[in-house]
Order: sequence, then C-alpha cells, then structure tokens
Amino acid sequence: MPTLEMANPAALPADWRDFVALTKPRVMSLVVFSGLCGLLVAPVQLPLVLSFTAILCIALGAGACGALNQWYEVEVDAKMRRTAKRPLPAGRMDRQTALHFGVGLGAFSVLLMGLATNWLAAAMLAASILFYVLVYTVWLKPRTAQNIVIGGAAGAFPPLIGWVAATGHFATLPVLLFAIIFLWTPPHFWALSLFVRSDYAAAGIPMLPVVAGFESTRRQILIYSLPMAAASVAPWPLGLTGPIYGACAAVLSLVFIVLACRVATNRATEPKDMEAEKHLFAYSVFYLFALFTVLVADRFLA
Amino acid sequence: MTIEDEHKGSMSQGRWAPPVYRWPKMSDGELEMIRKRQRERARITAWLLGAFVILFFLITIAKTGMNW
Repeated sequence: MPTLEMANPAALPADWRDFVALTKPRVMSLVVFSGLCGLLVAPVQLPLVLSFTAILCIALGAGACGALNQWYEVEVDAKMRRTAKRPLPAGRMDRQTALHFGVGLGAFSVLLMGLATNWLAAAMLAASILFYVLVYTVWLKPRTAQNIVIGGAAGAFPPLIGWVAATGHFATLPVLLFAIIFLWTPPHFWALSLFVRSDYAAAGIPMLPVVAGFESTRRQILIYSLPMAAASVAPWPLGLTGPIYGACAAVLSLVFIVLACRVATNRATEPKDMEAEKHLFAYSVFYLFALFTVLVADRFLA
Repeated sequence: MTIEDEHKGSMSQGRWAPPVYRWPKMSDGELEMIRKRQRERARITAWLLGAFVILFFLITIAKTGMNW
C-alpha cells in the first residue's frame, strides 16, 4: 500500500483495512467460534443459510462492539503501546466515522438476526452489544478493578445467542456455556494484564494488577479458575454431554489449574520474568477453542 | 480574509455574502490517494451490497421453505 505523509491523515477517506481493524478481528474470531458452537450443539438444526446468517450477525455485532469501544477509548488507546497503532489513535480515521460505522453495524446485525432467525436472539444480540459498550466500556472499565468480572458477561453471550437463534428458547447447556466463558474471562485477562500492567497504569485503567497488586491478582486468577473448571466439566454429570466431552474437559481444566497454580506461586514483577503468566494467557485461548471443539465433536459423535 | 472567515459568510456592501467553501490545497499525490481510497471503498461497498441482496434472497427462500 503506498503511503503518503499528510499534515492531517484523518482528512483522507479512511482505508477499508482500517474499518476491518476497527472491528478487532482477532477478538471476533473467538466470538464467532463460540457462537458457532452454541448453534451446532443446539438440538434444532437451522437451514445452512440461516445458520450462516446467524453467525454473520454475531460477527457483525462483535465488530460493532469493537468499533464503539475504540471510538470511546481513543484517548486511552493512544497512551498504550499495545493499542497506539489502532486507526483512531494513529489518526488514520476520524472519530465520527468510527461512531457511525459502529452504530450502523450494530443496528444492521440486530435487524438481520431478527429477520433471519428470531427476535429473542436479536434482542440478546442487542443486549450484548449495549452491555459491552455501555456497561463495560463506558461504566465499569474506567471505574473499577472488577471491570473484567462483570464485563465478561458481554463476551459470554455468543453461545447463548447461537443456541437461541437455532431453537428460539433458553436451556441449561447454553447457560452453562455462558458460565464457562464468564468465569474464564477474569483469569484470561488478568494473566494478560499482569505482563502489560505498566501500559494499563500509564493509561489510568484500574485493572486488578494496577489497583490490587501482583500477589492479589495471581491469587484471584487461581480462585476464578476453580469454578471455571467446575462449570466446564458440569455438562457431563448433568447428562447434557457424553463422556468424551467430560474426559477432555477434565484434562483441559486440570492443565488450566496447574498453570494457574504456577502463576499463583510466581513472584516476578518484571514482564520478562512472567513466563508462567504468558503460558497461562496463551493456554487460556487454546483451552476455550479446545473445550468448545470437543463439545461439538461430542454432540455429533453421540 | 482567512478560509475560516469565508466559511462563515460575510457582509459585503450591506448585503450578506454566502459562505465560500474552498478545498484545502492538496498535492497531486494526496488527491490521487483520496481517489484511490474512494474507488476501493466504492468497489467493496458494491460487492457487499450484492452479497447482501443474494443473502436476503436465500434467507427468504429458506424461511419460506420452513413455513415460519
């Protein structure tokens, strides 16, 4: 792509790649995957085109969340190395464009979900977008160290939405999937925030390591890992899945707890010495992918 | 008179003169970059619109088949 030095790059029409970056595609991939799993494990199979549309709507909704999050946090993003190169803080796009894009994408995704599947799924998609933007981004994130704990609910919606899109009603299994992601979010984000603590501190975001310190955060990572493991295994004894899922969930969760124990016993304060935290963060992403893959495999093998 | 003053409009010989908009001066390279991005966005918008028309058509067929 040719580059050109301009006095005000935001005066240019934004590049389409910046719109893609605004939707946080990497976060979207996990959201789409968990939504797809919720859809696939549902007892009702939708026609392929409606399943595709439901997943597309979940992806667009997640993209809207990303765009509105970046629109609101442009000043905070500019202060953090990890986020300073995003389209808004880097000045490649003006804020109003991001706002219009986010609102438009969110409204379109909800409308399309309602038309293609059912309005309960559309209402839940709308609720998850509003929860992420208003409750998490605007209210909790700049105010409390518990931001991730409560805000994690927004990221836990997709499997529930996928299930409801297929069936039109709630059930125990998707609620458990919601609980798994809800309880997985704090250890996942706190592991990350331990080794990028200085970034959050510089931006004035009260993440747990900034407010409560390293030791307390590491202890809480372990504490949250235990109910997360219980929620992960729970579908098996409740008779909602088969033994393949139960065995895999137990092994995956055990490894998660072992890594969380390593983090809990680590005393490092410098990011270069935080191998345990980096391992847990990387494993936590794999854990969720593996757990949900096994869930779908178990459903089809059974 | 600055560009900003012209944007507000002005009084001339007792009559209000409408604001005059002037594009900020741009080099050929900048103008070419703007045109290139507009072309790219127009092309992508056209593809997306086409894809959504087809998607709506397929959704209609699927929902009609399901008799919802």
